Amino acid sequence: MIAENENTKYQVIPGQVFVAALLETVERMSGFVLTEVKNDSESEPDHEIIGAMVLQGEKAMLLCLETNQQSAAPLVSFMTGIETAALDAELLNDGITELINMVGGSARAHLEASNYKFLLSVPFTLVGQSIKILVKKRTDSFMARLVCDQIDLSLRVYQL
Amino acid sequence: MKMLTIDDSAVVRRIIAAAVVVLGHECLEAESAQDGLKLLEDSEKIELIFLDWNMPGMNGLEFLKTIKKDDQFKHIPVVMVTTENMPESIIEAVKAGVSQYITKPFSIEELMKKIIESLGGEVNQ
Repeated sequence: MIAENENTKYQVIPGQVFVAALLETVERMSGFVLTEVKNDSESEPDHEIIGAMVLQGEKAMLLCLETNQQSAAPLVSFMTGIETAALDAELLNDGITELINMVGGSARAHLEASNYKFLLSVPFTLVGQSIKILVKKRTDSFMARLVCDQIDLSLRVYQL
Repeated sequence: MKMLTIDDSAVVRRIIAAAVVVLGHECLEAESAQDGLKLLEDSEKIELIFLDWNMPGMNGLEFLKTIKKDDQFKHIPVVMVTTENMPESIIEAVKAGVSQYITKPFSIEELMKKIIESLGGEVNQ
């Protein structure tokens, strides 16, 4: 039994909570229904946009949404109603970062129900060609790849 | 009617502005609370404000408390649009005078419904 005000200490990252939050966020904001791809890391595309935020609690986590401009364009287009050709890089970056912001907020609400509390940092964006985040080898991590048509998103959570 | 959306995310501002325009109204955009205050002072008769909570500089709650103390602006209904979804946050915003509360993520249908409710059901007038 969990004592009141005592944070739950997850032995493993509650990755499926973040996946559920991402699925809900993308469907509500854009209408796209993503499907999780299992065991397909070899064909994962290069990433050009990473939206990220730090979750600071009993254990800190780094939450990242990684994708490229080709995937971001239809997502942001359906979110905003702006034609893909009219979307600039700034809007694409902002769209991915806002999505991870919403995923963090939604996951926090779900995890609070299990008494796992954390604060959310301001979301931030990493951009460039073939970018990736490297963490120490023994850091626990979770990864899920979610796709829908040309949209290809990688959700990563690192325990810091 | 003229409305104002204040959010540091350009994408969220575009979503809200698009919904407002579809309903037959005009929407001004500000990317910070400070810019929102300037637009309020410089623009004629803004009748509804959409407000993010977490923004660099002055946050949405501080903005809300500021305008609710101002006789010129305190009558303007404010719709909070935010990832702050904890019950204590919603209560705090309601106590500070928010009219409607939308948690992100939201669908366009939910957003338009809240706009219509905030206008007392009046659209395209």
